[in-house]
Amino acid sequence: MNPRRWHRRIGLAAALFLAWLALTGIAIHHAASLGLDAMSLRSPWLLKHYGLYEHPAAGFESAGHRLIASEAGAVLDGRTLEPPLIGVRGFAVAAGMLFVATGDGIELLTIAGERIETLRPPVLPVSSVSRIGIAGDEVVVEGQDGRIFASVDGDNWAAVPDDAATRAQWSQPQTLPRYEGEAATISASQVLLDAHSGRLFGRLGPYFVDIVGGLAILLALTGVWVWWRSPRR
Amino acid sequence: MRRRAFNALLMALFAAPLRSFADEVILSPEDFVSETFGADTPSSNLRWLDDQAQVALTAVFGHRYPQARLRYWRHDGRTAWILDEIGKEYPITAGFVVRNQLIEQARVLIYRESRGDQIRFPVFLKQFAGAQLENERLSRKIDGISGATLSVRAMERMARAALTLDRIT
Repeated sequence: MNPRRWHRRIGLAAALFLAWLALTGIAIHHAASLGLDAMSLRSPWLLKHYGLYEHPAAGFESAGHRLIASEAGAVLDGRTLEPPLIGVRGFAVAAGMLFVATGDGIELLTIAGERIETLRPPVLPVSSVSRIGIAGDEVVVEGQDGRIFASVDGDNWAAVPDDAATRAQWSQPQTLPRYEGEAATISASQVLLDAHSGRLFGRLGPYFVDIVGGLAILLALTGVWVWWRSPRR
Repeated sequence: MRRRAFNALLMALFAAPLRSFADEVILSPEDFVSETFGADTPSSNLRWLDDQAQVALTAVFGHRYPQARLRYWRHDGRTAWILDEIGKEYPITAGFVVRNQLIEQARVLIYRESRGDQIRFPVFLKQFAGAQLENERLSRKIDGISGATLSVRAMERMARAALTLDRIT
């Protein structure tokens, strides 16, 4: 077995990908000084890849406001919400505020999209919101166990009868018409992290990065092996 | 022979398990509050993060706290705070109990990163007990954890924030 030949083969196979990892890693390391953490991208390919459409395909609408959600975050009335909201399940408008149900609880936002508070137990009477809606001037939420609660302001919640489900207008994902001037963006830092980890390239991307990592280890080992067998040593 | 060995190696690398990024609820916020106050659990209070509060929190976190108000619980000289701060990529939700401007208890409630969750264990968290603010820093040195540096620093920032909020509320 010729270690030099293996070292060369592995090096050739991994060179391009190792360079990619090194460059993206350096960029991540210096994201703040390079201004990448404050940069937003609007490439149509990227927006489509992350599910943020220039002309949105699906989202939620309530009281004239529209919320587009994707794996990378949410866009409210054309503005990307920061910090990102992940796992949006619907939203309702009441008491001049937006109640956005996520896997984490309910995000309370101003109409302009500024975060007021994250509602969780014990304030929120359900640990996981399966759906959210509006009944009159009250926000109603249904937990995973089917119990329904309502509140006017998000501060005080009261259980409501099961038949309240039939009276509530539940937030449902829908196809939204074109919204003029609406523009989605994705943060450069997020794209860089996903490029470095392989997630940018689909479900198998992280596996591929794992393979490149393995090749780097083999490169180190064969390098030591070559040195060990070197006659000059 | 060599080609078979190389192929086998590639197959082995392909079999590497995919990491999971699911939220891990270690202690629900509700349980944290009820464990802290027991039968005397008070109603929550609201602390609006006005300019004074945001300036103080920006000094701690390096950024404004991304909320307009915070909910806290107060009873018998103790306050309980539930805060969020990003470790590496995702927020860590932690609870802090403060009495007499000292950290009485620190708990990790929800952990969302793929690694570094060693901060959840009592051997790490007990370092915060008795810590107070000295020149806006923690009076106790918190030992780092290899592979969890960013999570450790996030917990330190949240501890300082809880003490700061207790002082100005």
